Amino acid sequence: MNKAIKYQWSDVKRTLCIYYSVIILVVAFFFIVGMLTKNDGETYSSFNGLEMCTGIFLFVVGLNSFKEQFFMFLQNGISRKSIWKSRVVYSLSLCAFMAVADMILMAIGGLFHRIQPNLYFTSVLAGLYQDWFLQNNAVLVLLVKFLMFFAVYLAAFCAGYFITMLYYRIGRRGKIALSIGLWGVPFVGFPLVDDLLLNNRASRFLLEQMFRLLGFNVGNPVPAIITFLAVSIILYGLWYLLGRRAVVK
Amino acid sequence: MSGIVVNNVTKNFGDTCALDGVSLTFEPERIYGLLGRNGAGKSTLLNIITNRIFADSGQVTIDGMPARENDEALRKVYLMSEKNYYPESMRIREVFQWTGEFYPEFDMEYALLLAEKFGLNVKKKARELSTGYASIFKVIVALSVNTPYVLLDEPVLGLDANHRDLFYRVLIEKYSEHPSTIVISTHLIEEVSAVIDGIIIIKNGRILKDQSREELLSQGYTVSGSTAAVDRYIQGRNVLGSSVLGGLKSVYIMERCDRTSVPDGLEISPLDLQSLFIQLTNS
Repeated sequence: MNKAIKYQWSDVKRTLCIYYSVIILVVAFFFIVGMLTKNDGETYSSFNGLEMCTGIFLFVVGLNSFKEQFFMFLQNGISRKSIWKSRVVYSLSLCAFMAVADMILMAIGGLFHRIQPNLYFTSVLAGLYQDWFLQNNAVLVLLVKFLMFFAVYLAAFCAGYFITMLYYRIGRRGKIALSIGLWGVPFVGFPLVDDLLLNNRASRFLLEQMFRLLGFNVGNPVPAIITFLAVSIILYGLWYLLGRRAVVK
Repeated sequence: MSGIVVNNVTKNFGDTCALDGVSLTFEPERIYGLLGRNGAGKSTLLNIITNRIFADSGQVTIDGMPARENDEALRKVYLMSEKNYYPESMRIREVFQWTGEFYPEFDMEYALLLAEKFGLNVKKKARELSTGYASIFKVIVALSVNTPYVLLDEPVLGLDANHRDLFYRVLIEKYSEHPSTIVISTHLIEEVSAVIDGIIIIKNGRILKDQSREELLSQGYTVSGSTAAVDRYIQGRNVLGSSVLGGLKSVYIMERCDRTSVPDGLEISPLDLQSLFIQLTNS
């Protein structure tokens, strides 16, 4: 299993280097542009959404890392159980690493703000729970930010990997149904039915539940952390169920 | 070591029965030929042994341990497939390095030596290789992995005559220095017959023959001569098949030869494996 984890890290490290090189270049560009703009209290530059980029990046990494690695592991005598276990450990370590890396980048961005006050380096997630972060001590804020990033990243990676496994396992008709259903149901079918038959009650209910699960109603990030971690655990279970009967094609 | 034991394995793909109650044993330190026509079930059997696909029923054990989903058992066996399961963008040297990680007994030095002998550029990526060199790199991995059981599915696919000759020589050398169980699944029966000891013939998902080469070929003989003379001779005998070339007829007979009863004008010769295989799998 350790070898499988080592291999997965080896496989992703080049992609990681490229990703963070681009991010650093963008941040450097942002810094240079910020330094060149007037510091008159009215002009400012804002860099936001790094964690969204990382979430999307991890979703895509998850989406692209099943088939090739699955074949490689089966070729080298690794059982599906061990593949699953190594995948879990790898995803936890990768998402933790990127959460820490992003927090470091944001801390550096915070330093930019001190050097050049018209430069703002902010986080979407932190912005959503700004009041909570302002009311709590620095250590707790740091821990909760890390857990928030980690939980969102993990859910994104798990979702990407789950989708690619599902596509691998289902037949042609299933692929077509899934491709249509994935977009058609939530964006066309559901709104239509909800509007025509339920007077938008279902949408309101879902929105309320989502607010509750993400802690928006109380302005607390902890429910969101629990929600995303729970989603990840469920997806781990689904990985196992999909993976245990997967065969070479 | 107790070998690889396949016990009553059945596998269906939809309506097609690929394997039907197959039972056999690959004993330690022997070289086997797994022979069968296209679609007979050879690759299916090898894939089930190595946990790449699942049998519908039956069991496979490797040295007494169930092979299915068992890392310890699977570490003892290596399958070189017809298809490439290594990442296309991976360089050959990297494939060797990673094989060494997963199989600690892998001999990197030997693999590089074989690469040189075969003229394989280890800096190339897997996708850049021709059909022949794709087989060569996989064969090199299989010969260097040093597991007790090595399964080779069409190892000489796309290889030219020189490389095929080199492969068989290297195989024999390797086997002499480090005996292991080697199973060769191939269509090139005449070439492989010189190196194999055990023969398993599979037809329509069932085992037709599972014997040593010596036993199998000594079970019958070939009689050749003029068509009329041969036809008279074979009356009442267990005829497997025949071939006619002009006025000359050769008949394959599956019984012990009594040379005293062979009339003048007829020639007796041993069965050759390819002819025997064709006759067995044609009927």
